[in-house]
Amino acid sequence: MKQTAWAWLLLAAAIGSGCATTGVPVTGTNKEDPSWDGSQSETATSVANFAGKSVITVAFNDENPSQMKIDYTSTTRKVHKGASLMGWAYSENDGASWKYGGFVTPSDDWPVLWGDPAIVSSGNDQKFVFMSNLAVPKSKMPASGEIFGSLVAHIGGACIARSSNGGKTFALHQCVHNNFEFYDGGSMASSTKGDIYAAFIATDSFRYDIWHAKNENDQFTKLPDPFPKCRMAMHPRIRVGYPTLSLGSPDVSLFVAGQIYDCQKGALGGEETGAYGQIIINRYHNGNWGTPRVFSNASAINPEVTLSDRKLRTGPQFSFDVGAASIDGNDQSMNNEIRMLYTRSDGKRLWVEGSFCKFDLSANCHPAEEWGSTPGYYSYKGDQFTPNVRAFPGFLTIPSAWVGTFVTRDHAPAGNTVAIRRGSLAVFPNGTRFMIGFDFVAPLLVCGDKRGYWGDYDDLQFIGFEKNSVNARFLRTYTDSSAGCTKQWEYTSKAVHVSSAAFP
Amino acid sequence: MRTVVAILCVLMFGCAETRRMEPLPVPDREKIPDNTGYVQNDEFVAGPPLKGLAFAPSEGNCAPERKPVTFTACCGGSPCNGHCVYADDGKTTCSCFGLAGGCSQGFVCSKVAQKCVKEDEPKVK
Repeated sequence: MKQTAWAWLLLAAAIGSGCATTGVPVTGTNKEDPSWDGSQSETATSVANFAGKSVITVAFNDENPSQMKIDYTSTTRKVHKGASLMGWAYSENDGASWKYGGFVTPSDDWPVLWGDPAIVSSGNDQKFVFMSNLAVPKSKMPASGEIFGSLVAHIGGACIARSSNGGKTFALHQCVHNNFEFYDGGSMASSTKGDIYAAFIATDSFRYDIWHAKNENDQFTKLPDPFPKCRMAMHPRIRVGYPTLSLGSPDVSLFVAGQIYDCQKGALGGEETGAYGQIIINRYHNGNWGTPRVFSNASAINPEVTLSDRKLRTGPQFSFDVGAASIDGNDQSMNNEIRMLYTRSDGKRLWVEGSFCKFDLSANCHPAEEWGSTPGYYSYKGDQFTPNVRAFPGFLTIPSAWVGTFVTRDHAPAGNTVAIRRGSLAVFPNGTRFMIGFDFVAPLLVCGDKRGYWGDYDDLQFIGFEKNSVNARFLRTYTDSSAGCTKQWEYTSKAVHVSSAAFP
Repeated sequence: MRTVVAILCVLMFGCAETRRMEPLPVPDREKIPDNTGYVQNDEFVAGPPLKGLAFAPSEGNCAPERKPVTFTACCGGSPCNGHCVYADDGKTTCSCFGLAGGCSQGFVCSKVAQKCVKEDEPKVK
């Protein structure tokens, strides 16, 4: 191996090295914290520069008993008109400490806000931050004002709240729907031109609905269907990318990826319809969607992880990002790649592996089994799942960075705990890919409810740079029950809060 | 260069409790998962359906009444509390995400959970 290659390896390793952390509480900090008595889980993170400060905002499913809008009986759950799971917390010191922000108040027309958070700061004016949640419209709310049990028959769209102070306070901005169909998931992105995007799956129709506002004050309208010849199975994920960012003006592209049931013959090239769980991706550019590309092997969909005496439900099992140069900034062929980590299963264990595409999706995508925990490339034991990927694209002389995290049980494959590992999705100058998985978040006792719910997904976000350095810094949020697992009931558990860990 | 390497080594190994997982020096080809049908010439392609998950259309009018965001179907002339799949012989049969025969009474085949769940299972917190 050439000396320069070793240097890159060591650099990537150094970026990834460090001790496992117990993180910083985002919610449930102490008994005086307004979030202490409630449960918070399932996160999305934004970063905004507001009034000369960096404001990091974490959106989460916020079950706040002070609302008195959700009751549990011995057999069911009752949700009252006015209930809101749309909560958030924010930090003004780069994640060193957090303040509970509150929850968004529903409207008369959309009387319940019900989780699956997504959040993004405007790339144009970061005082504007947008956050979305699934929602129940008035037309699907029982006349009694109460919903017993499942909300699936009642959710009929999503609501988007807006902040104009960097993500410290929010108010409802607009609710979106398509004939009040059930929506699920939630993913948001923004461009430096001020475009705001919000994506959901219309589950009953197997379709992704992507909503677009041309600027921070515009109303959201629906874009054309990105995958009209495919049946989509699970939450969409969207990202915005900028090719040749350091060489000229931004050239905005929106990317959407998701797991399929199947597609019409020929929709993805060839005669096959695609396998359940294969991930496909498309690009919206100059007002049009391109041709979808296959982005993965068959991935695991909502796998349930069996722990020693409990189970853990999971959510979407893929994460991608766009537009960062490879670690070798001189290799133009690898600039602006799209890189992904996703989860696979052989029925015995889960593992994470990688894939990548050209930025413009002008060719088929490729496997990158060297990223993640792929058997044969790594000797991990137990399950690895719920990956996250985030890129800092680099700018002028500031180097780019690609990082990934995943949940792992390799420290105790038969136990009740999970930990989080992290590493760089690195590429040698000769094109060889590699990832070193470092301990990141120390083992956490899983304390889900009896269904296994402990937050279906979390976020990994670029939050700025190390002090006096050009090293990109990232923040991973996660569910934390270290305050004690005192209750595991059918529909809820305690203590369930959110913590964060930043690196390097 | 030596100095850089030394500094980086300190950074890498300075924490005794940190565990690293490096790639194997040489990939163990026997353990690498099979990608046949989904990767050709190192490129992803649309693969064939997974075993037991070759989704088939519902045909006829025998599908049971459906709750929102669930599957019911009419498979091979029989009502199905789930969706149809193609069996090995090419005929359509009832399933719910690999559970042959579909869901039992009191359960629905959920498009959200993508498995059989109790009829009134709350989906999210």
